[in-house]
Amino acid sequence: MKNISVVLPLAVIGFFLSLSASWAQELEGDVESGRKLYSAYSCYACHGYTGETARVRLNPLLFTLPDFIDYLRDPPEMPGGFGMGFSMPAYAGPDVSEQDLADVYAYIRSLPSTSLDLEDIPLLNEE
Amino acid sequence: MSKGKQRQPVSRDNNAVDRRNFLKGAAVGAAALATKPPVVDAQQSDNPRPSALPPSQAELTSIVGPSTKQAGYHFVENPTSDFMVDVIKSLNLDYITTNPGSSFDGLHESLINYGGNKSPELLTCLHEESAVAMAHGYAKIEGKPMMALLHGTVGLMHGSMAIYNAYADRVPVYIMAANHYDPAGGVNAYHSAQDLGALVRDFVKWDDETLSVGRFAQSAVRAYKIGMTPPMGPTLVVIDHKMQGEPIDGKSMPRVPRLTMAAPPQGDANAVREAARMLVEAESPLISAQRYARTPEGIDLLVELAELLQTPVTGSERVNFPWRHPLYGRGGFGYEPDVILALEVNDMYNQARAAQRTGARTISISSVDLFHGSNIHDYGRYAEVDLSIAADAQATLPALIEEVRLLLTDGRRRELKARGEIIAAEHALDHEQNRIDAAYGWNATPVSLARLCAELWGQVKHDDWSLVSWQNFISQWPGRLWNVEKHYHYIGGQGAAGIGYNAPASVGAALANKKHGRLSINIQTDGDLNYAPGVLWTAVHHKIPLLTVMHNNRAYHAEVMFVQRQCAERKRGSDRAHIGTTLRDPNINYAKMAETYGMYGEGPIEDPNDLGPALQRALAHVRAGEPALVDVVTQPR
Ligand code: HEC
Repeated sequence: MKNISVVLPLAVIGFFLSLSASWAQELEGDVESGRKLYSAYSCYACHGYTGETARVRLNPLLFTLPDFIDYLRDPPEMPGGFGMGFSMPAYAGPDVSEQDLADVYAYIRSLPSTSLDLEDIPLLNEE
Repeated sequence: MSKGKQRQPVSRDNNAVDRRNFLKGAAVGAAALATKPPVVDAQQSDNPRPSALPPSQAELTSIVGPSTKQAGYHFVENPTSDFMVDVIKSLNLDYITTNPGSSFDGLHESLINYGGNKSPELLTCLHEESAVAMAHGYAKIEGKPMMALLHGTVGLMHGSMAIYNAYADRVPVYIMAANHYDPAGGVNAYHSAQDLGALVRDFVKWDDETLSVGRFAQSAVRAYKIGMTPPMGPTLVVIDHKMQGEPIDGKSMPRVPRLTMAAPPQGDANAVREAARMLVEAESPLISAQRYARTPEGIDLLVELAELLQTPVTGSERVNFPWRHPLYGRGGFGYEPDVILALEVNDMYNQARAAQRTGARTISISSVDLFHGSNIHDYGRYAEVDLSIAADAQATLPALIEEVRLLLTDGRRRELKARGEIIAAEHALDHEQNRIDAAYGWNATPVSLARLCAELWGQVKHDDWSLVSWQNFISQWPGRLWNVEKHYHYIGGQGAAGIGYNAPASVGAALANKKHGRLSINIQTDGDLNYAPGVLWTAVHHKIPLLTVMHNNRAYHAEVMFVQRQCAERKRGSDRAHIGTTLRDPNINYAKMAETYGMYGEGPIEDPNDLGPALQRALAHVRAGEPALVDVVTQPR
């Protein structure tokens, strides 16, 4: 009995996970809509306008789309975060659709890098 | 707020009122003029004769008594406020920040004429919050207070937020507030209070109301002494308007009391010995310093202690320890402190809690244990520390160093040396990581804060520079890239996290730096500047050299993040956190704002490649002795 009660919920969760993943795989993100949502959802506020300038970098984005959606729906709880409001909010409300998140994903993936190698920046190499 | 000069000689005032009543009566009764002969008698002095013509001198005399002309202009010789200036001068204050007010017009006149507007010199401020915050920044550079002179209820209320910041930051600010103790005459009633100090009593270290000149002399000196005795803080002397104008002769004039400063309290010898034993025996001690170093010697003492113990030193609230020192930091990856020495850490709750979980022990040396207000909870939750020493940490360090020396054997010194080498290697790795992180988004538009700070550093590092602004809204980039080692390299932030501090405190700090020939730099958040931008004018007017570089992220950015998280928790409206938090539509043009106040301004700069040349142009103005501003549109953090 004990085993079943543990295994059953896991199987249920697994079913929904694979379900959301299979839906997500078929979503086609719209970069222009994603650009607006990246701003409206305040992603820029914590990850920078190019996804590179804050402590947690999104550019380059290494997540698959299904993993990305899962992460945003239910990010790890981080009590207090890095201080002064800096912790990852969930985007789990009915106002945020999978399509919206796919759009944000497409936008982040479209962002060029504005980073340089340390060696190529004289200002950071002189004492 | 009325700036009207209310004070007038009593005899003139009374006559003026009577004459006004007379003329009013005259107008109302004009129609009766033809029928009633002019008769002047005693009864009619209360019920003026109706006439459209001005009364004759004889008529006036019979109605209101002897003419004001005969009394003459009210001249005052030896006003009490001259003596007040003598007392103020004895305190060796260089400046007084003020926004003028009728309640201290007498003292104002004495300061500029009798006192020659020198030591102290008046600085014109456009808001009392600016006046107090300027004094706050000034004290952190100069190590002594500046006076902020405030006007009645209204000026004190305007200044109260800044007083609270100074209180929480344990910084001495000398406040004098003038009261119209007698609420006579229209607007004075609004500026008068029975107990003016009550308005801010919860967050000054001490205050007094001085209704006699003798009391003023004593309290003015006492306020300085109390403010400068650790734990330091703002103090308030309330003065009466009327007293300033009363003549004072040699006989009634008290002596100017001699100022004797109190030696700061040292920790109990036995407790200090116990602390030394815990630190020497510890495997991985950590020193955590917050508002510790009161003077540059405090930094030297802490270096001595840390090097003896080969212990990492953390804390960036102000410069307690050189930030490029190999022992600066938390000891690196995997360093789990077993003994924590906290120096003037205001709120020990979190550190004590964390220590309890890991079995570490905590020692606190803090003067804050010697003084607590009741209403404000700035001391945080009750902290269960293992050894608590109520004393000034800097004054206690020489004794602690001595005890540590006595306990250190050669063998122990060798062990500690090995520990220090590991900590130093970790420190070097941290420094390297900071440079790597700074390269991310280097060419981003808007400008990354790492880039902004690196560009600035490149241009000022050969100057005797002083960062006079708070670095926590800019991801601590100056601390991560600049060589911060002297007390004036960084002076921390608001104290009570009250926004509106940064712009005026920077101007005050820059004023203190001016006489030392230092280059003052303010990385200024946009939200903060908009509280009272008039301080830009004060900087121009008083020729205070200061480079202001806007960190213009067009928002109260921390609140964007807080509100976004609330939307997340409630699962609704995830696209609405900008409402009430952002400063767009229209964007504010800070270069034009600077120009409006007479300051050199450039920007807005969005392309990082434009930044270096703009900084160079602005710095040319600052090096020539004036303030300048560069507006940089930035990444949020
Ligand atoms: C209030 C600040 C904040 C906002 C707003 C925010 N994030 Fe985050 N985000 C964080 C923090 C902090 C982390 C790191 C969390 C952790 O490590 O536990 C993070 C982590 C992430 C990660 C995981 C990164 C990794 O490599 O592990 C992704 C992906 C991400 N955020 C995407 C987004 C997107 C997309 C948005 C907007 C829809 C967004 N975030 C909005 C603060 C924020």
